[in-house]
Amino acid sequence: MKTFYDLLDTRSRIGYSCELISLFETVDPDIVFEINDKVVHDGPLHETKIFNGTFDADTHLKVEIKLHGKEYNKDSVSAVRLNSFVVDDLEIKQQMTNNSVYEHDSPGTHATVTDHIGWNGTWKFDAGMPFYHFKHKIKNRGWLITPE
Amino acid sequence: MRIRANGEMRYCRWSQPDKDHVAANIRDVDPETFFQEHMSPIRQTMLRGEKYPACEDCIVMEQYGKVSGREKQMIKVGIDPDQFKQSFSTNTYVSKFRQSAENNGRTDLLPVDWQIDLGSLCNSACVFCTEKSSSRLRAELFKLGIIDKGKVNDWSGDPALVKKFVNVLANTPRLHYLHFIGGETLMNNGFKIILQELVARGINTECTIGFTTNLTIWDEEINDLLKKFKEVQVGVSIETLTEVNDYLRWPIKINDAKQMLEKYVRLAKSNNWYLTVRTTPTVFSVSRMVSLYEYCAKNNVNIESCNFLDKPEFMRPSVLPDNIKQDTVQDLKDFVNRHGSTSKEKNYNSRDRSDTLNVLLTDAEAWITYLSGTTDESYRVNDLVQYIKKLESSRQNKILKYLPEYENFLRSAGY
Repeated sequence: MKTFYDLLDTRSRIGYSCELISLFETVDPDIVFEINDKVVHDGPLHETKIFNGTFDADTHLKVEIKLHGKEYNKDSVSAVRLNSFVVDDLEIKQQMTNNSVYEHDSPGTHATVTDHIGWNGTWKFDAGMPFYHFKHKIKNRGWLITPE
Repeated sequence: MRIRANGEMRYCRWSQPDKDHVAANIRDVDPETFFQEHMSPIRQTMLRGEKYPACEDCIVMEQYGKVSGREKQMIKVGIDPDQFKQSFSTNTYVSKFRQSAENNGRTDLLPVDWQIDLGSLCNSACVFCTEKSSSRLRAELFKLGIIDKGKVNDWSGDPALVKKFVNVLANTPRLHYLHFIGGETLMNNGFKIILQELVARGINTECTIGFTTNLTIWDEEINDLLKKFKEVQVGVSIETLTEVNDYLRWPIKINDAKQMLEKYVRLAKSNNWYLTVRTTPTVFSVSRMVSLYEYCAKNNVNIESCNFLDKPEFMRPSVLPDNIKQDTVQDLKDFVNRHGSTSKEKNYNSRDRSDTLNVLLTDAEAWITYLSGTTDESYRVNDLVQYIKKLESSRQNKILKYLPEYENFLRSAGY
């Protein structure tokens, strides 16, 4: 086992796996999908896809899904749905959705929290803290004390 | 950090004192010095990745799936016990760990989380307690010739020491949690005095007070003082809701304890305080714990059972013979099955009120694992019988009145 001395010098990386479902009848949804400011997909999403990767443990997880170019009269169904987001074996999709912000072109009529991105616009999630602090919060682990 | 009834300071509330060779008395050493300097060798041992012997209780708890004190402390700084290595680098104190590692285990911090043992003054003489923690038991054991009279040396009876201690608390940035125990906490004047001092110095708005009571005392003045604190956590000590509690927590009567329990449940609910049932499962109570789990499940009250008992050794549940262990395991399994068949996930926050049932199931499952797999210590039954025979001669009670199914077990050792 590594000692604390080793751990203090170790930069840990955390694995994630994200599944985006592509929904359409005739026109594939055209998206820009970013995780931690890095584009992991840009263009039409032809089918359901799983994205795997890693990020530094001290990174504040940020996810952004931008749907653009949708012509509602051509294919009203065209959309993507965040089906799963697993970090370090923990499914956090629900908590991400609950903390998401979706700015789109029909805000007056569709302002609910959703995992379904079917309006032109940008769906964003920002954990705002390192992943294990976020996990602490969503697991209701109580106090998170700090020295300062 | 912990200060014991006699004023001796220790690095952790869960440490085994006889395996912990770093201690100092508040009469001789300032708590700041003890924490910042005396504890350095313990930190260095841990930093090297070695097990500190006094941490044994927590290691055993984790072995059986019980949430340990160590794990409860880890989550407070954002270390995930399930992903220790990955989460360590982002824990909220990582820079302080690093500083300590670079300075031979020293730190510039002060303890923000204390267990404060006020003294041994106590109106009950629990059968599993020791003379160090109960004045009433001490007097009884002395009368029975089991111990020498000894000397009462409670630190909190000395106003100068109380002042010294409160000064440390007042000077501690981000003081977080103070948990008081006795003896019986509410009998000890030091409790009220310290609370008053904390309020007078304005510390009440920033720290949480916890205390454990044996459900015999109701003190309106203390309740009013507690209402001035940021957060309050009440621990109520009770072993079971059956009559064997009368034997275990002698001379408290279970019906009186139940009434007081209800009062504290109401008080906690009306003030949004946390209330947890604190148990010390022993050879005599483990087979009756389900009544308490059921009460807690029904009333949405969390339970925190102690570590697997270390001392007195003959009171450990592992002393039970296989047939009683198996019956107890079955009772616990029935409880788990009645409430969902299994805990959905181990909950490290035993005070999570949004997940009470899961906390109870996690605890019950740990006892199932322990009783199913622990080392057989039935050879200790002779010591057990010798001890209770002496106590019963003084108390005029009989364990078999409460636990008739223990007859063969106890008779085999001369009961």
